[in-house]
Amino acid sequence: MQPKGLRATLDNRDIRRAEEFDRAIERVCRYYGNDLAAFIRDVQRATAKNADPSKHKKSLEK
Amino acid sequence: MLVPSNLYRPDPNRAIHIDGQLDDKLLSRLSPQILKLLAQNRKPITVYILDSPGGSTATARGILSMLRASDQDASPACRLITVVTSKAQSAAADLLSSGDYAIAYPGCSLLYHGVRTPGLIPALQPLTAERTSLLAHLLRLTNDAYAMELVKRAEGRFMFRFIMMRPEMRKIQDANPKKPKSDLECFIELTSPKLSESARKIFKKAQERYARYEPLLAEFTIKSKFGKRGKIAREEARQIKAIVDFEVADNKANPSWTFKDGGLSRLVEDFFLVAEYLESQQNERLKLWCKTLSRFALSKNELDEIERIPDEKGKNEALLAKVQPPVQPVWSFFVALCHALQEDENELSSTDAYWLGLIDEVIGEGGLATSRWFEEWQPDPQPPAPQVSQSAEA
Repeated sequence: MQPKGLRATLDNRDIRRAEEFDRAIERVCRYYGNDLAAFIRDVQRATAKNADPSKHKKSLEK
Repeated sequence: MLVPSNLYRPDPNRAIHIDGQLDDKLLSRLSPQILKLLAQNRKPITVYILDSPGGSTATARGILSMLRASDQDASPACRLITVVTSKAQSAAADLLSSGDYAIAYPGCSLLYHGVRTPGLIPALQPLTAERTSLLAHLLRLTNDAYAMELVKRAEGRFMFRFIMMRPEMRKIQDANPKKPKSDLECFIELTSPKLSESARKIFKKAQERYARYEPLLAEFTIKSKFGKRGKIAREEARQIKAIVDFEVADNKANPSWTFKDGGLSRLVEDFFLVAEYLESQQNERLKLWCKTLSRFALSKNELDEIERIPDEKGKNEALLAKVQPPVQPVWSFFVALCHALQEDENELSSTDAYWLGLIDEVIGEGGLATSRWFEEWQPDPQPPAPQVSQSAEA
């Protein structure tokens, strides 16, 4: 099917990428409304847990 | 929590490696590997750029088009994840930014600059005024085309940086409610300190370029029935007339200023500037990004107001009317930035490239927001409800 309207000027590849991203935003919005700051805080908290050096203590031992 | 998605994670088992000069030899070495990967399945392909000084743009294009090839069933192209581990310069840096998801290890060296034609110089010997001016014209056109290609490849990343900065930008604007700063001013204020000295220079060049758009465009708007599209040459003639008037007025305090002594070259510069601005302003892709990211660009009240509009077309129009005015200057600044990257030698660190929208992620830098977060994020599973024993019930 040919893309219509705004998206007609973009090739299918861009459309796919934009749609994937749209879906991801949709999902995040379901939980956070448009409170972007809260979302950023939560993800950073999750990644900070992984970056915690105490978790890698074993690799630092001799 | 983040659940890893193969759309955003490099896969060394389904990868090609670029090391050294981009030339025919490299293309011959990589072609069989790429064809094999394409024939196996349509999963993402990782392109590792280990250490490359760049080289032939034709080779870079050849690698990219082969990687993006379809198959006999007309399947969509494989997604490309590009990763630089040490150095990507010139055409290799362009290749990096061309990835659907571009990643850099921390401490990498990236170099962006305009095109060179060392191969053409012998053919142009002896250099005459006509031949050099033709060469200059060709280089300018090629650089402009490359700048617009870079816009296409990096626009999503740059708009994403802008949107992710909205909460901090709001704080700056709320701190000065009497004289609120524009979104672009806030964006520049927040981004500049995060850049290296060399990247700050590019940012400054883009700002100067952007600052030149405004008075030029004001003159153009008055003189040339802005918005009405005519024959291209007639349209350009209107633009040139408006620029001539602008330059004369702008230099009236300088009695020694003439078109013959430098003014004409400025007119040519201005003409290309107006063209690039108009191209960026009428860009349909900008509208698409405005729509996609509007949920974070608008306040809750503004979103509610739009939601109350009954028809979808009206909703879209209202949304663009609200989002495009603040986003447009940032977008035009970004276009100016891509043109600035095609001038001189611009050496960047991994973090610089992230802030300028040239890559998506710097490995291990958890403080730098990525689009991957949106795709991989899942709400934490709820702990199971405590089981109530029968004796407690009784």
